[in-house]
Amino acid sequence: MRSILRCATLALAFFALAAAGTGQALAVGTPAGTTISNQATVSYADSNGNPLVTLSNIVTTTVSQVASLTVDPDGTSAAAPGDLIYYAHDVTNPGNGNDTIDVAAVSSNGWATALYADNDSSGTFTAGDTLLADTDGDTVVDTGLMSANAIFKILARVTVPAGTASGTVDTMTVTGTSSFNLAISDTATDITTVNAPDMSVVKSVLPVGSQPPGATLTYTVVVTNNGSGSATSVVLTDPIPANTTYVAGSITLNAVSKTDVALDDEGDFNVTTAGAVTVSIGLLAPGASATVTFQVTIN
Amino acid sequence: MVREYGGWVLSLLLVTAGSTAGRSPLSESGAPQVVVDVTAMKEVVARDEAGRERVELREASATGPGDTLVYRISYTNKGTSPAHDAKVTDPIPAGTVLLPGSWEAPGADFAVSVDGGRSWDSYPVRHTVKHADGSTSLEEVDATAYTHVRWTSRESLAPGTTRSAVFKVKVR
Repeated sequence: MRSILRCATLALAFFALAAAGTGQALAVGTPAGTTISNQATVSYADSNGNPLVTLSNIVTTTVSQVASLTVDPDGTSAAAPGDLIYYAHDVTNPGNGNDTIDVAAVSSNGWATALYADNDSSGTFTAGDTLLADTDGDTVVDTGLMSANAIFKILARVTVPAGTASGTVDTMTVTGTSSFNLAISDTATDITTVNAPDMSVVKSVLPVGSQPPGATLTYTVVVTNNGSGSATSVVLTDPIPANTTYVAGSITLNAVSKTDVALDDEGDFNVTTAGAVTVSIGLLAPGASATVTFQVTIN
Repeated sequence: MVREYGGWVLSLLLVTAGSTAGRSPLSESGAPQVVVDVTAMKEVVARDEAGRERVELREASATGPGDTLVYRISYTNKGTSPAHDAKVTDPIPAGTVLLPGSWEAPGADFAVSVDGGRSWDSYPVRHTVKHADGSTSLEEVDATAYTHVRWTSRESLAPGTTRSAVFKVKVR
């Protein structure tokens, strides 16, 4: 008996919560075509206390369609030259009637853009996602017919051209425009910052000044990535100067000796490239540098 | 017995109303007869010559979500004796929300209902909210909770007198 009572109480509490949730939910726009009517009542009494009631006329107002839309959220991303960057957006129709929302994406740098329907709502580009189509024949791709309060998920893609300089910033503007009322539009912006490697090579020699034949020269080559993107598979190739002879076994990379033969470590001489020191530095993160030294004698 | 009596009163009222509307000679005893009229206008933001925004009232046969509708209720005693305890009751139309503070009615007390007109309170209505930690607090109900507005005249409505009440709603 007791448990039954408790169940009943719980059920009541649940319904009360549900009702509160519904009441506080953001009001959906009253559908277009709805009639809002109002009729007032006056009750009163005559001098004998008899109750009387009068009803007013009924005044009616018809709700017309009002277009409304949002494109959210804004996006930011880092990218490397050659990347395809996808930004997820929700196109929402908070209006009170059906609408087909045209969508366009324009890159501030004139980079190629494309718009996809995020068919699996994953927020990322997947095999099932398809290019947006022009369903209403106005030459602009669109969401297709959206009912009031519907959300259509899209992916806006921008292509970062190969060779784009590090630090380049692109702003892609994704604009949704109501087909019901062309004056109604909203935009989201996607800011892409390009992180590209930017390599510098500085070579020095010791000792400096004119040297007699037979003298040993030590060359130091510093390879630095000054960019904001990582450099991968970095290879330094340095032909030894004319009239000099390479000092066998003199290659170092970051103060570690390397052999002259290929493949056993990062360095070799006269194997990968004839007459040259070759060092496979590999990955250089932004701001990182590698120091290569080798020696020659003057003939 | 009671029902019969009620029916008799109702039929008498109908006769009275009919005779007054028909401009027949006033009955000697005299009776109040209140007529009531409602108009709906919508607020439109317009700019004057100086570019300043001002709110104008326009006819409201058509409206859209977010619009503000202004209802004006005018009631007149066209009878020959005072109408006592006059109460104007108006439901908040479906698809609209009462705009707080938008009502005006000189000489009448304003009340609201959140239960379809069964009970009446002064504005705002508060309810007890239970929190997750078991504590409770008294909070104002959401604006969407109001179902009806009512004005109660403080004084009797003398023959030939007109009063009006105004309230505004926002179209959802």
